[in-house]
Amino acid sequence: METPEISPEEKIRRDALFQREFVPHMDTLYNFGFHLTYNEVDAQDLVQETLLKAYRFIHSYQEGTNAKAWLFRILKNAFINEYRKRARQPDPIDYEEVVHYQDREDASYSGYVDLRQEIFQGLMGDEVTIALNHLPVDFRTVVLLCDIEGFTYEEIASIMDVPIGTVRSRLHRARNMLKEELKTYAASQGFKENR
Amino acid sequence: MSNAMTSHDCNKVVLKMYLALDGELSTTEMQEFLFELDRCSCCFRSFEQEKAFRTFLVNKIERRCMPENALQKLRDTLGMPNIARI
Ligand SMILES: [Zn+2]
Repeated sequence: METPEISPEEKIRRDALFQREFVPHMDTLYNFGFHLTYNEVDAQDLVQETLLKAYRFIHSYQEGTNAKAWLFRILKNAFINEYRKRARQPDPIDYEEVVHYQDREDASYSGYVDLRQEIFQGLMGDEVTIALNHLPVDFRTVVLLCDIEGFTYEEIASIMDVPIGTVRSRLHRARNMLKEELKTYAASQGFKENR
Repeated sequence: MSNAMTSHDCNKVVLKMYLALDGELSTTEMQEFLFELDRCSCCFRSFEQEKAFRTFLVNKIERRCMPENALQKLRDTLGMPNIARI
């Protein structure tokens, strides 16, 4: 890749910084990309693009910046751009469209979906992956960022460019959707709710 | 389910429950939340269930690592043969 003229010492410094600050997040980035696309090649491309971009802008990187959140943000944006390009005709998933259908915080908090342990403990990992896959991508994203990656609401808000209230309501909604779907799987396997 | 000072509202507690499990409550808010759980077995039950659901989710969601060939491609593109998984 083309880099503006830099001294060998500077190159060594940047490479070391890259290895130290960005490479440790490579696998989690890949996992995130995989769950966004459910395609290994697409996920690999997203990670390549993300890390190349991070390297290109490494001169602006300040130590102590939240590298992980920054990288996730780059990857998420790369994903959106890619899908915009592909989504000429009927959108398989329209990342933006999903946003409108709920965002009023108060309204989205209605209801606690009760999923009893007996129900979900009979489920395998596959069903969870499928259920997650079925969520609209915005909703899947918040679950991945919060539950799998452990980002705070504030970090998720800056990764996704939405207010914290939206993060909160989307998370709530997403988890309820997951529970509903898992309940349906359990029911199809003949699990009876007794009580 | 109430004392003279404050009343217990299950809906409000459930709302706090999500924040508690996501680590979004301050220490004081967390103490208040735990106090409410002691006052209501319904809320306590919801909390236990939600906690178990989160654990279940985290354990079951498939995790993948970047394949070696993709990592090699990254090394080649960046001209950094020493990039190593940590
Ligand atoms: Zn209660």
